[in-house]
Amino acid sequence: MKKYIIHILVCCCCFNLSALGSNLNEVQTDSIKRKWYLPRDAKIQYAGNIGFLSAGITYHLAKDWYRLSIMYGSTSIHSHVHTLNTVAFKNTFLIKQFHIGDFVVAPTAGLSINFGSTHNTYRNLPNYFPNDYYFQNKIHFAPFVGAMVYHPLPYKIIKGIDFYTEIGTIDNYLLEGIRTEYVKFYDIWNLALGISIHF
Amino acid sequence: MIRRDFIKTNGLVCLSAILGVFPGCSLPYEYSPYDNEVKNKFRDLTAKNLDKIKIVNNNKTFKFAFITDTHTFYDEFNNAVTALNKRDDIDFVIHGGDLTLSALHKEFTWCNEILENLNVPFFTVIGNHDFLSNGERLYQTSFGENNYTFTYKGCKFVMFDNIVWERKNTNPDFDWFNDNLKNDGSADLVIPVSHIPPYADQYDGEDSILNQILENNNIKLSIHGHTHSFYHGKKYGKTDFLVGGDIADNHYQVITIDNGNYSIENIAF
Repeated sequence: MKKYIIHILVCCCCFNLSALGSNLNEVQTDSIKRKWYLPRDAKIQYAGNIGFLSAGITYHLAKDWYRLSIMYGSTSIHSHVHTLNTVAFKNTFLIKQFHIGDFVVAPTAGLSINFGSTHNTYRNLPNYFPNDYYFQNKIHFAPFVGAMVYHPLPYKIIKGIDFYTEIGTIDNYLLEGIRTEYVKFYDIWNLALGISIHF
Repeated sequence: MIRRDFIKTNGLVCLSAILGVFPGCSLPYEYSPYDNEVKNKFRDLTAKNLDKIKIVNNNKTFKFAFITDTHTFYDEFNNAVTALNKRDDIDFVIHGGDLTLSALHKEFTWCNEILENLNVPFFTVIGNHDFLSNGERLYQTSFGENNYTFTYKGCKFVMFDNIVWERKNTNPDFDWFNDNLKNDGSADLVIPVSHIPPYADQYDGEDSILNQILENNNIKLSIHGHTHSFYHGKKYGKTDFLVGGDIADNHYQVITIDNGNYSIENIAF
């Protein structure tokens, strides 16, 4: 737990450092009517149960307080296993948005729905298994809380950039954290870091 | 001016990201619940435990404990380890498989952390649950080969991966099993340990190839898990089956070997 706190402090210091160096005062507004299917940002994420690195696109919905990211992540480059692919539908809620100078800081919370693929992940069991022999193990629900810092940029295509950090877990670990004494609640959480480029 | 601002702002922002990522390398990042990353101290545990077995005399009487199907019953599993550590008459512990429930990365870590607390060496066989997801790979990284043998005080243990369905419904290596059960006279007793008994699902009971191999090799005692209920006795022929219940039963078994003979106790903890 101490490590989490230290790391979050490091990240916060970094964000503050970049804030001091900024003198961009104009927040760009999106004046172009956007097609509904065009994403509002593209992101790349480190860790967070959807791969060593994952990349995806995000739609900003419900007056910008709800964001749906579609991510693909791979762990193969980290673990030398060729079949660790994950597709995630990541639902992020911006709990509140604080405007501090040119920056927008938002605490976030959400639920990612992760579809994993390995040698033996099943949504429907092959027919040689009896019915209900295993519960499906292909889809994991991964709750998370975090924070995001957004900064607008004065360019036509790239309108802003944000950094986010999240503390999350997956359903199986959460269950063990609640159900057993041995697995401590702080044992089940892990960190993710990400960058989004806003269009 | 705008370009300078851009470089200044984004340079600092990129620096922030880098500074954020690098300290993170030693922090608890999880890349995937199926990740094959295992701490060094939890790698190659079978080989490390084989190194720990030291024969202090030529006495061919010894005791070992058997536990199985610990899954995610971490509290009971931890209690079993505490109970076993209170004894000083156990030479080693055998785990009969299903160390995990879904074979996820942290499940293997938590299992290894509990096993690490045992005062005596331990040996494992892989269970069907350990085969799920990327589990076989994680098992091999943590413990080593699925099939292996070791001999202790004249007793040969044949540790066999006999999973079928989770191996895409293909047979395990029965040739290896049959070859290693043969006793050339150097062992007083040969004891196979595998997760699934021939009378449980995945096998056809008496007619199954698993049971035929046991009978053909005149195996006296075969040890298993999987069914989650304790059983000790003969089912079909000469072979005596010891099947441990899951650890949530709060029992472990102690097997006493005495010059090629054996006796079994079912101990509550």
